[in-house]
Amino acid sequence: MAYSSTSVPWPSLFLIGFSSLAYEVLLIRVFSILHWHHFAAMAIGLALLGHGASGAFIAVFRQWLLKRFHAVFIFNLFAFVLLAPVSFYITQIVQFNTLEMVWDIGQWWRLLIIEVVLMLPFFFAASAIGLSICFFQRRLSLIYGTELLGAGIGAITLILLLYSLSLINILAVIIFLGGMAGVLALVTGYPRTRRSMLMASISLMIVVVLCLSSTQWPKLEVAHYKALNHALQLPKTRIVYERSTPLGLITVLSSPTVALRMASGTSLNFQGEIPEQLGLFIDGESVGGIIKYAGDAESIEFLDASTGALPYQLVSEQSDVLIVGLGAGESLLQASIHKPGLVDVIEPNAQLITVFTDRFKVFSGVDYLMPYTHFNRADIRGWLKREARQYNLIQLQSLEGMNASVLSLREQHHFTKEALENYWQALSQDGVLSVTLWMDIPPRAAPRVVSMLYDMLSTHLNPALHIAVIRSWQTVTIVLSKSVLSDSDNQKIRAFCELYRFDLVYYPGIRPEEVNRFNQLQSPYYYQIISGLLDDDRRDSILEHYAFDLSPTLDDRPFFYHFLKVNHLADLMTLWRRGGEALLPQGYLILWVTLIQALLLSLLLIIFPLYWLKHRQVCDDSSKEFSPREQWRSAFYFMLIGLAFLMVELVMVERFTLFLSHPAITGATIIGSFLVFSGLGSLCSHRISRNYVLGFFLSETRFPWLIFACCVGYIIILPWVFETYSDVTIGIRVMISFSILSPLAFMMGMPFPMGLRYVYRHKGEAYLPWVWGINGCASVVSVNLATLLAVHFGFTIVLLLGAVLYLLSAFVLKTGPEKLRGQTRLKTTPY
Amino acid sequence: MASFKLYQCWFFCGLFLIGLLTFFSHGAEAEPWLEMRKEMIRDIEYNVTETAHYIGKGRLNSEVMASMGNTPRHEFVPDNLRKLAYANRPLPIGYQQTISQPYIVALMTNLLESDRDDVVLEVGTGSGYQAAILAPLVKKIFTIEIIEPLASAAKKRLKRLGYSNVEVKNADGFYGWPEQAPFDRIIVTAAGGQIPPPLLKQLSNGGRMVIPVGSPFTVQYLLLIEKDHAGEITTRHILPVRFVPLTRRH
Repeated sequence: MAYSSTSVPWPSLFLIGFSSLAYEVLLIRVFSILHWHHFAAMAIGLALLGHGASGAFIAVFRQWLLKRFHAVFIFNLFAFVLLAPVSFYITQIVQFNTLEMVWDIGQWWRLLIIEVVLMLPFFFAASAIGLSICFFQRRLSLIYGTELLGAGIGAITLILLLYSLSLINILAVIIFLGGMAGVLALVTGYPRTRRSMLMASISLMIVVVLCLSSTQWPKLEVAHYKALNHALQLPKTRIVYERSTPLGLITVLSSPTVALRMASGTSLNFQGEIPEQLGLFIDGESVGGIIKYAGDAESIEFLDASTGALPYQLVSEQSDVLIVGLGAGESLLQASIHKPGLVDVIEPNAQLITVFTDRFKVFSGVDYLMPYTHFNRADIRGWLKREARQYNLIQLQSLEGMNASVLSLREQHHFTKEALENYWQALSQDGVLSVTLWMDIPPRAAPRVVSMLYDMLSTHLNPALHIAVIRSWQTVTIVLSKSVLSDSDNQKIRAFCELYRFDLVYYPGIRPEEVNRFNQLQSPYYYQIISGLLDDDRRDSILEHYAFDLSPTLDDRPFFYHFLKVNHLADLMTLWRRGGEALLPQGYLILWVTLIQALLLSLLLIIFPLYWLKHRQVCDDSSKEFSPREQWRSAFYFMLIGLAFLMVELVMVERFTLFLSHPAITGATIIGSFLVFSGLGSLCSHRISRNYVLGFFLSETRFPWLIFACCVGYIIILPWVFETYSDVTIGIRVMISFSILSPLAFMMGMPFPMGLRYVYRHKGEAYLPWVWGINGCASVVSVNLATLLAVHFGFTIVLLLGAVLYLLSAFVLKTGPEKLRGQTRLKTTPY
Repeated sequence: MASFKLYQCWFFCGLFLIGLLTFFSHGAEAEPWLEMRKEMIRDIEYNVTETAHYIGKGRLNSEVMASMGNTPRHEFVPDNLRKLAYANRPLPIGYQQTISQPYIVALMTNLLESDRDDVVLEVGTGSGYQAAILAPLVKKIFTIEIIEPLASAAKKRLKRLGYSNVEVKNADGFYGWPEQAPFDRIIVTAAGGQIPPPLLKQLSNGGRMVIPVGSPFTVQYLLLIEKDHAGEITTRHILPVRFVPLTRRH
C-alpha cells in the first residue's frame, strides 16, 4: 500500500470539498436559469444523494476498495473532474420540460435521468472522502473537518465568483481545482518516482487544456418555454448585454425589425404609440422592457394608461415616492410623469442598476431622471428600517413572471404581513401604498394582499375604508391609503376607471352594478371575494370555504404564491386535463415528487448495503459484528443528525436573509459560516474530548442539549438582534451573523465525527461507510422535507424540529448498552 | 397483325391495371387521413365538453366543426410530422413557430361568430391552417405573417389547395392591414403581452376579436374583445389555455 496511515492527502481533501460544494452552488444557479427556482432543492439533494450512494458503494466493496486505496482515491478525484462538465451537458441534451410534467409521464423519466447523471460527480467526490475516512480511521474527524472547511470556503468563493465570471468559466475553475486535487494526490501519495511525476504532469496538462478550452464549450441553453427563448425567435433579435450575478443572469435583448412592446395591462382606450424598448430578462424570465426615453413625457404616456397609475390620482405633485424593485424602470418613468419631489428606487441587484444607469444610460434617459432619483442597492425591509423616511407613495409591482404556479415555493419577503407593516409605517399621513399584480383567475394573489392588509389594520382601524382595488384585462392594482378614502378620492378612482375602461373591484361604498363592466369575467369574482374579505361577517367564511388559501403570508412562511389548500387538492386534480393545470402549484408538486424519489432511493441505498453486510462477516473480529438492535440504533442516530443539520441550516439561511438584506451575501455568510465552523467543530471534536471539562459538557449525550438550547435561544433573541442591529453597515452585520452562528455551527459539526468514532471504536471501520451513507440519504430527505414543512407550518417549527431531532440523537445514544455508554468519552481520547 | 392487336390488347389491359392500382392506392392513402380527422373531431368535441364551464357551451357551431372536418390538416404540417397532423396538440412548423392545437383553432373560430359576408384579418398566418378553416365560413381573409419564408410557403400552399379568398402578406402584424380595414373579425393566433392598438382601431363597430394573451408557452387566457356599435370596447376572458412548449425532439 502506497499510503502510510499518516500521509493523509490533506490538500486533495480540502480541494475536493471545495470543488464539490462549489459545483453544487453552481448547479443551483444553472437550474434557476434553465428551469425554475424550485429546482434548487433538487440540486442540493443530488449532492447529498451522491454522499448517500457513495456510502452504500463503499460499504459493499470496502475491502476491495481499501486494498487499492491510492488508485481508487485518485480515480474518484479525476472521475469528478471529468463528469462535472459531462453531466452538466448531458442534462441539456435530455429534453426535460418542467411544464410538460403535468401531462407527459415521459418527463418524469427525463427528470430521473437528469438526477442520476448529475448525482455521479458528487458520488465520486464523496467516495474519495468516504474512502479516506475508512482508510485513515484514526483521523476521521480531521478528514471530515477538512472537507467541511473546503466546502465552506468553496461556497463563499463561488458566490464571489458569480459576480465576475460567467457560469461556464466558473465551471472551468471548479474543474481546475478538482483536477489540482487529483494532481496533488498523485504528487503526495506515492514516493516521488519518475512515473508518478510523469502521471501528475500529464494530468495537470490535460486539466489545464480542458479549462482553457472552456471558451469553446457550448453555451447554456435556456429552456424553450422561457420568455427569453420566445423573444429570441423574433427575426434579427440579438442579445446586446449579458451578465451573470448571484441574483440572476441578466440579459438585454434588442429587436431591430420587430419592435418589442411590453405594456402590461395597458388600457384598450390607449391609441398612442409605444416607444422603442429593449427586452430585459433575468434567468430567462421577462422583467419588462427598458423604454427609450429622451425626456419627453408624452412618449411614455402609455404608462399612465395602466392600472398602476391609479395612486398618482390620489397623491399630489412633488410627492416623495418609493419604488420597490427597479425592474425595467417602468415604475420610475411612470413616477416621472407626475413630477415627483423625490424618488427612491430600492433594488438589491446592483448590476441591474448599472444596466439602467450606466450600460444603457443614453437609451434609458436616466439623466433626465437624476435630479430627483436616487438608486439604492439594498433590500427594501432593511432600507426602511435603516432610513426611517416617510413617503407619500410606496409602489410595489410583482409582474416578473406570469406563471404563479411555478413561483409557489419562492420566498417573497417583501410580500408578507410584516413587510406590509413596514410599508405602512413608512407612509406619511396622506400617503398611499400601491400594489400591482397580474390578474389571475380564479382570483388569488390580489385577494391575499387584501387579506393581509385587513389582518394588519383591523385591530386599530376599519380597513374597508382605506382600500381601493381596480383591474384591467390583465393587471390588478390595490391601493391602501393611510387616511380614510374620501368622497373626492372615490370620485377620482371612478373617473380614472371610466377614462381608461378599467373595472372597479372595490372602494368604500361601491355598488354591485359598478363592477365587471368593461373587462368581463364570467362572474364578478374579484368584487365578490375582495368585498367579502373586507366584511367582518363574511371574511371567515370566505377564508374557510374558498378553494384557495388566502390567509396572510408571514415572515415565518413567506410563500406568497402558494395558495394550495391540501383538502382541495383532490378537486384541483380533477381539473388536470380540463384547462385547470395552471391552478396546480407546480413547484410544490415537484417538491413532493423529489421527496418521494429521495425516500425511495435512500431506502434502497440504506437497505441494500445492510442486507449485504448482514450476510457477510465484515469484521475480522466477530465480536465486533453489529447486533440488529445496534444496527438500528446506529442507523437512527445518523439519520437523525442528517435530518437535523440541514433543517437548522436551511432555517438559518432563511432567517438571516431579512437581516443581511441580500440573498447572495446571506448565502455566502450563512452557508459559509455553517460549513467552516462545522468543519472546525469536527476538527476540534477529538481534542475537546481529551479536555476533562469540555469533554464533560460536550460529550455525545450532553451537547445535543446545548444545540437544542441554542436553537430555542435563537428563536427568542434573533428578532431582537435583527431589530437592534438593522441600521449598522453590511460589513458589521456579516460579522454579527458569523459571531452568532459560530457556536451553533461549531457544535453541529461534532455529532457526525463523534458518531463515526463511536462506530469505529466499537465495531471497526467496516460499518463506517454504511453510516456515512445513511447520513447522506437522511440529508437528501431533509432538504425536501424541511421546505415542505416550512410551507405548511413555518420555519420556526422546522427549526424546533431540527433541535428536537438533535435531542433525540442524544437519547438514542443514551439508551445504548451501558458498557458502551460508559466508554464513550474515555475511549475517544486516543484520537 | 394479329400479334400487333395482341400487343395493343396487353397495352390497354396494362393501362387499366395501372389506373385501377392508382385509384385504390389513392383511396388507401386518403382513408387513414379521413379516419384520423374523424378522430380529431371526436377529441375536439371531448375537449369542448370538458371545458364547457369556461366557454359557456357544450358544443361548437356545426359549420365550424364541418370546416375542421373537411380541412386537410396534414397538408399544413411538415412532411416528417404528417402522422401527427391530427393529434390534438400543436406541432412545430419551422422557424420556432407552431400550428395550433385543433381544439384551440376550433374554439377561436367559433368565438369569432363570423358570417358569410365578413372580412377577417388574421395575425400570424403560420402554415395557413387557421385561414383555411375560416375560408369556407367568411367572404375574405387577410392574413399577415412576420416570418417571410412562412408567409411565402403559406401563400403557395393555400393557392395550391384552392383557397381563393385568402390573401397573405409578409409584415409585422402589430400594425394590422390598414389598407383593407375595417375588419368585421380579427383573429390573432400569436400570443403576446399586449393588445395592439392599431388592431383595435381597424376592428369595425360591432366587430369581434379573439386573441390569446399572457406569457407565451405557459399560461395564457383566450380573450374575446367586442366593439359595440358606438365603438366602445369590452373584453371577456374565455378560458386559460396552455400551449404545449416545443421541444427539439419533434
